[in-house]
Amino acid sequence: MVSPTPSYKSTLQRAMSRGQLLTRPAQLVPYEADGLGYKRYPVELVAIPADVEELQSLLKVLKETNAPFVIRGAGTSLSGGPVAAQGGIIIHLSKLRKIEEINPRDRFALVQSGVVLNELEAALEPHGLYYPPDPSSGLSCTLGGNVATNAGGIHCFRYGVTGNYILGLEAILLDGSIVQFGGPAGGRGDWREDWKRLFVGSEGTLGVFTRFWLRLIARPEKVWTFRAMYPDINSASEAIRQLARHPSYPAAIEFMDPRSIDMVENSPMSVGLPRNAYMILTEIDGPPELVDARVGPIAQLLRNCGSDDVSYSDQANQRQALWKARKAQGGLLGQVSPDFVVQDAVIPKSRLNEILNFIYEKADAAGIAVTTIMHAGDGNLHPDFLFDQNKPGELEKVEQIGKELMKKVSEIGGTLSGEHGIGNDKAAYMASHLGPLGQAIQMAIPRPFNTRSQLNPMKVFPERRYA
Amino acid sequence: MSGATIEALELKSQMDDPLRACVHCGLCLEVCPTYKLTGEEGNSPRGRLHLWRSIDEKRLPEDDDTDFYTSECVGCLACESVCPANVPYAHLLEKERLRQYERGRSKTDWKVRLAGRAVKQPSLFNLALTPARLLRRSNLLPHPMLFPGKPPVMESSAAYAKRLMAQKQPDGPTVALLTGCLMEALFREINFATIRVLIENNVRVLIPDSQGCCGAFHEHTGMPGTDKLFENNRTAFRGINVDRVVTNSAGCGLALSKALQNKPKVQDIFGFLGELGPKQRPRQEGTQKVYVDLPCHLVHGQKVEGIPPNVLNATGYDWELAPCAKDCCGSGGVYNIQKPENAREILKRKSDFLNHLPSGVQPILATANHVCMMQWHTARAFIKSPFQVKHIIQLLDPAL
Amino acid sequence: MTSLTSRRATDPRCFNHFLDPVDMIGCFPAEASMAEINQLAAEHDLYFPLACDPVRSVREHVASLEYAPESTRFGPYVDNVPGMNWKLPGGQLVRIGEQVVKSTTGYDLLRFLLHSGERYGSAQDYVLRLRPLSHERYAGIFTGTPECLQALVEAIVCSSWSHWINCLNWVVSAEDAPFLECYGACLTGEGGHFIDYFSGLAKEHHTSFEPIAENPICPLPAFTIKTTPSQALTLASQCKEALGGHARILSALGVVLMYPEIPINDKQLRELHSRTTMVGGHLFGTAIQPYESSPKETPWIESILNDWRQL
Repeated sequence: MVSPTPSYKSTLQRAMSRGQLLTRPAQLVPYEADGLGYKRYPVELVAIPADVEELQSLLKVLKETNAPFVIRGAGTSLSGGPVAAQGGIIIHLSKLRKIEEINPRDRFALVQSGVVLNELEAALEPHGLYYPPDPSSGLSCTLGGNVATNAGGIHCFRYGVTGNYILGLEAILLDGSIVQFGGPAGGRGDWREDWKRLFVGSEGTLGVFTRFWLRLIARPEKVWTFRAMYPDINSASEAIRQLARHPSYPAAIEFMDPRSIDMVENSPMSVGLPRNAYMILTEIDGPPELVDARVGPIAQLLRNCGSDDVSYSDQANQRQALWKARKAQGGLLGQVSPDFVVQDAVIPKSRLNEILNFIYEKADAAGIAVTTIMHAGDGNLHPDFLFDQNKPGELEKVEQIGKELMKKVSEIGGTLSGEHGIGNDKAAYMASHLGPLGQAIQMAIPRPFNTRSQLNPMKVFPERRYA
Repeated sequence: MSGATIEALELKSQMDDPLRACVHCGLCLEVCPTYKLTGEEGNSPRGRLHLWRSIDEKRLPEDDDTDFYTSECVGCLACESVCPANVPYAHLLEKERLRQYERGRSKTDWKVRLAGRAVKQPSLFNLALTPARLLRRSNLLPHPMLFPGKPPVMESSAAYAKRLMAQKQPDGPTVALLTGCLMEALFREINFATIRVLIENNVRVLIPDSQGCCGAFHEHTGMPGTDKLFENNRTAFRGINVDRVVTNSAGCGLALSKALQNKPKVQDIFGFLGELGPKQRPRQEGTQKVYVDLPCHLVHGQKVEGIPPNVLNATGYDWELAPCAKDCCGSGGVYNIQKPENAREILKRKSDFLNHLPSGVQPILATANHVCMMQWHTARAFIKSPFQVKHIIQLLDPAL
Repeated sequence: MTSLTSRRATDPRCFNHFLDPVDMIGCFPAEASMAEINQLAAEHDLYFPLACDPVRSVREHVASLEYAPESTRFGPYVDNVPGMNWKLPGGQLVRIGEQVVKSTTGYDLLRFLLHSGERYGSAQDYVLRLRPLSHERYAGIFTGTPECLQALVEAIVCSSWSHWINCLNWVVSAEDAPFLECYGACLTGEGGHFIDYFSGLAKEHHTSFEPIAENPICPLPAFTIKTTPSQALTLASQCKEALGGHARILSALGVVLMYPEIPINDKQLRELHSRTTMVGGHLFGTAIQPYESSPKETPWIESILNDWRQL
């Protein structure tokens, strides 16, 4: 851990008059971890700036502190992003939550980086406008975190991920200056290069986000949800393939493996699903004139692929019931296991069967329980490995499986993360995924912005250490 | 492809060690009134669980700060409603507060402690507050939390129920009514209205004499003694033959349902009336409009969807749910006495809609818990135009 | 391009040429023409939607525009090109991006480099995202007063029909008053629904709708303006006044494709530049010199290029 300059607390105090500085153990301990609760990193100080102006004055003095620092939104990340991996300071943007403008004419929203996704969603609804990225942490996660990790969600198969909706962003750089890349028009603005493209998905390593211009679209008028159960992976796989290229462009295609279904069915959240089955959930949306007529063909497609158990509905409560097992899955992990790791690989869909078998074989051989769900349209796979860190050797086993899985994913043309980001959880796999040349060109990007890796060290690339 | 390993795990962590059931997902942050107020992780349900677990695992010493965060929780339980891992937060909070109290770390002040002791003796408590009822009746009790009302001074709810039963002779289902401590001692008119509505709907109302405090007060503050209070009510309510035990205070209802464990079934008065289909009050023509607020301990504690629409329609008023109806008003039992600044700020944000109503609307803020009513009444400090606070049962009262 | 031949690269991770019909994705040489790509894709009932001119290569498309007419439905080039084989300034070939559509692995060099001209090296191959071919199409033209047409555009983009319309373009030319062209593809049997919707909407907004048989031809523009939807029509009309020729506006996106008769001069360029950058937009295309780098970004660019040159 880097030793900060002893007087840095008073340095920060000078820069903050309205916000809060947290310095005592009980104030800091809750900031040890993000959504990946089992990995804890001690924090030395937390600053909660009251507004953008205070954040800017804080950043002006941070260089003098010689302390590494990390920006945190709601801390719902699943990749160990907003944690103090190298100690130091966390800046918590929980007060930057103003929705500054909703512009129906040019269909954009101007929001501060601490705005919570669902709050934006609620503010847009009366305007008939829609911001599609919908990570399952939407209830709490902030736009800042979404942009930092280029978050996705269930509906990004058709609608795309966060990066597809960023028209512009404002950030404070380490030199204390505020820059605006793009704006309502979504272009480059007065810059030669399109810098916002590098900042989206940069996981808080290039600058500190303050505002975003988000592209909005019309809300889908009507939605149909389908659930189909398949007796084997081949028929489920075929359903995924056919849905993904069906010209009705399903908004979502979700997959749940029999182990996940077993977990749900063994719990109080049981919905009466058959055991040893694979579940496909899909949604189509659009104007009623179009989608209502597509219901029959989609149901038929699902049956033709080998399901004799297809349910569908356009009613909110019934749709919720169809989603229930899938939505319950994540929380149940906490009830069946003290700790778990979620992977976020993206694979070519044609290799699903092979990868699932790989996961099962490795996990079963190590005696580690695993459940797998997948944003199947995108090939974005979430195997959840369950373990107990108090049992010697279990965490190591899970880490070993993760390493082997990631190697395999790279080999077959997949990638390490689809929507969670690399953080420090997957940073160790970057070198082998990118290769020496690929990694070298990547490492050139943070250099001009964050030369000494004072901002969010040890994330994305483990070599990025503050010294 | 069977998941043998998972079946073997069962739901063990939650049963063995609820502190470790939290998956640290953070979905609870944005429903937590104190997190929204302070923006501090430690002041969120996830943060508090993390602190308690750290203390439990001896990674963090208990100190004034850990005490502070535990005491900051309003206890609204909105976090339980969104928790995907079903962490039994209420249970853990009560345990922590009790532990704090027993170790002398609780900052509960002497007046609250005194009240906690007093409510254990309902008859004495009632007697002691006779002058308060009298003063309130005469509108002479200028405490900011005391909403206007005309509580009967001498006749008890039990006596009234007996008298009205004899008069009207209902022959429908039989219920036992929990009359409560503060409700009976200070806001007795609400109990009377409840009795009138039930009997008008042909319900037989019994009020067991031996019933006592539900224990909610002690759960909120961490004061010991709930076990004894629970036991007392088990004896009181299991000794009679009724179809339901009904409560007209969401908080008391939650505590009583924990005590009775469905023997007999405890139900909020409005859920019960909703099933029955209550008598319709005449249509209220005019500019009054009812904004319905939902007590946390009804929706998040008792996990009831809300007040049934047929009940609200039966009031005869135009009504709609208050904005953010499922969010806490800041009352939290005695939270508004223990943490007045927080409570005030929470209510200020929640009640702001009353400042932006269409002109000419005369708002009635209606809810289903007397402590929420007390809290809402304090909103007069920052709401520019007049508004009334009512218990929904009062809007159904045939004597109205 | 004769076939999807395999290419040996300096970086063993570089993409080989391929077409994956399951993931609807393929890697093609930068010089491949859109016609060649779409011919290969059509064998699997797929197509690349952002093609304007079939005889021009992907490289020429990427150099000319960031948004094609079908971007209205499928998004800009950056969202339809998940990967590239890239030749660095030092000559090494390196893989940029992925062959899967969804990725948040590392810095997004792909979107940063795609339209960067040759300032950081150049693309050798592109990984393109393909879409299912629909066999039924619809197309038509709306005419009316600009105010009524404007209201009609608003109505369309604010309804969920907008998600199913491939192109909704203003056409601004010297000969005619501005009109709207609207076309796309749909599921078999759905064309009638679209025509009914458009006809009803036209009536409602006091405009007229005329179905047409063929999609309008939309060649590569001289340059494009990226601005806000509300500013696009005014800017396009003024440009057409000054430069002659015609313009097409992707109305939902605020993108103007310019086909001027005379080249834009420096003064006009400066004026247009300042009006678009004010709202966070920009100018782009083969007829536009890249902007000078700003003093703020110059050291960033130099730092990145220096690092890359040393590899």
